[in-house]
Amino acid sequence: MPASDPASPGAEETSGTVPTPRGVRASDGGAGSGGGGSRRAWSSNLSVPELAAIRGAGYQPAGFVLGASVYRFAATSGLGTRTVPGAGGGGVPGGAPFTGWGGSFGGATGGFGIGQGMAMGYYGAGVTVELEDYEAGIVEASQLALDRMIAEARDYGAHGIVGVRIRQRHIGTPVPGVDFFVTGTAVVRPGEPSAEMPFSSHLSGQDFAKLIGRGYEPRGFVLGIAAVRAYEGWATAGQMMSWRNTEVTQLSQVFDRCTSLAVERMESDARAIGDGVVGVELNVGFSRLQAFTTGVTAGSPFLEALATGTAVARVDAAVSGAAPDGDSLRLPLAIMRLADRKRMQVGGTGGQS
Amino acid sequence: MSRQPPAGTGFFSSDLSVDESLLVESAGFGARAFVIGSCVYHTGSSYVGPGYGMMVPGPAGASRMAGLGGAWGGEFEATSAAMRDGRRLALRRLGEHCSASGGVGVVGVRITSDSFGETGATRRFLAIGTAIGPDSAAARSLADHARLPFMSHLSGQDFYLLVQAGYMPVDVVIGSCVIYARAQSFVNTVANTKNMELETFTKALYTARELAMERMQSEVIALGADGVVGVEMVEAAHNWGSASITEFFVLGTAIRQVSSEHRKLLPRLVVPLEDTVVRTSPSSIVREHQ
Repeated sequence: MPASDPASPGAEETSGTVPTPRGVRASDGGAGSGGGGSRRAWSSNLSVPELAAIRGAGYQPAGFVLGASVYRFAATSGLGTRTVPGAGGGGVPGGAPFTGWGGSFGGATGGFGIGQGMAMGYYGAGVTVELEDYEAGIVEASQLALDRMIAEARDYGAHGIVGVRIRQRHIGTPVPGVDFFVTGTAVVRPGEPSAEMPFSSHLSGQDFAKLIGRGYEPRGFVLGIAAVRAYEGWATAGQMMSWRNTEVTQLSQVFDRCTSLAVERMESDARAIGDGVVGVELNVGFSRLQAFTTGVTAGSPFLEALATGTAVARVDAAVSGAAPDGDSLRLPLAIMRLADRKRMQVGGTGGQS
Repeated sequence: MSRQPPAGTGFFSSDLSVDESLLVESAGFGARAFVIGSCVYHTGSSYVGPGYGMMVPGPAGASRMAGLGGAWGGEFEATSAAMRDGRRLALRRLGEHCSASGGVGVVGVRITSDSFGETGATRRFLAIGTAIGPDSAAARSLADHARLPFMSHLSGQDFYLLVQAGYMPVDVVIGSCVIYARAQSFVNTVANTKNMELETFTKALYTARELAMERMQSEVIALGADGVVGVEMVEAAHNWGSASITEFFVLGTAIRQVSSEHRKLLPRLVVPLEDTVVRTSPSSIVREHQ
């Protein structure tokens, strides 16, 4: 995964120059030791049940933390792209197809989209390119925002952050870029030495407490991204113009590879810090960035998949798997709710279209 | 007190909520992997001129059906088939992904569909869920007797309840019917001075729902399942170029009784302390495009 390394020179330099405004407020007492936290009022975006759950798990809120990063994508020359193996196979003369064409060709901010492949002479099965510059940009931008949030939490002497929420906004003017804004509530375990690297987790307070009670520990919010653009060949064009029902093979493969890549990258990040990922969410759709150059095909859409989740690790093997007798989680109680159903909407609906 | 070591020792990923994970675990199963199945599918393009002789771009293969009000509408049979086949392909790949990642079944299956590209004729279908595998002897024997991989669009909570009651999910069953139906007809255009029911329109909607349900039920019968639970019906006018074109899509989980008899659950009445506005699983990420 490109640029996921937080120690990359760009990341270091930028995070160093952007101040964390809360750092000043956090230093006025209690931070670090955790024990003195009671003397200072904390803020949080927790709901009341979340607060109760967190206190029950032996933690207490330290403060509301946030991180932001506004990031600009390179005026890409197309150099940051590569063909995607296993998606829309081959037939490209002369190796990497989009390097050396100059301009905005093939990059995230310009280039051609679906339907343009044939005009470019990619016959047969077409070709699919991965927008590596763009992917690296998203990874670095989100990492910057998350790192700043974690830095705020460290200032509070927190052990972790729960309820992480990310807002990602594509900006088109004046330059194509992305704006990441992350928030969460730092939590501290009173009486314990502060953590070098506080964990971050998108789980709610209740879920956090249940995980802890079950012998797991959140390790970090993980994210995987993949962005690809497909240039169709005649086979694809033929399928898309067919009078009969048919699968569009190349695009199916593109779609499959794109979503799988995002999930695999998220999993590989999680593997480095934990034993599993919970609460995975997959966002997939077309994105379009404003191009530097104007032209009919500038800023054509590309397919983007983003997978997010919280990496967890088993810290107490004895608790997980088999629980002691009488564990209420081991033997769930069947209850009949008196709340009406409309207010209790649980999770997603299966058939959302 | 003897304690087993943690069951699945391998790396796992899951889109289940923590509650769901714990309940699936209590049922003797464990999450293996977040699994995906997808497909991009093209519907043959054609036109239909129901009554008005108008061109309707997008879906194809209309057949004027007496049941749908004759000249006033019809079913786009090819589109119905495409919406079904596309989803089926995605579900099949979801199952393959599940087996490849060591799971015996998928819970929490969700299917989405979107237009792929500029026109409504090519659509992408995405099925996601969490592959689970047996961690206990009881769960292993359940899996041995099930048709694998089993699939269910039910939540982890529902999966736990099903297993407790002596049932196992068999497969996600679907039915689709895409129709062209207009509220306006010659009769109600002329006789517009009094209140009246739009009979052909009513009939068309009824027939379409009925057809979608029937198609789902025929899948249940083909699977040899006992019944179907959690049926959801979605009506959607995708971007097919006309608001008069609607898809009726039904989805449910076919189940089969695996224990010798239905096991009763004795629920206890509780008054929850939760707020009335319950945010059970808010999305962790909001993405805006300018």
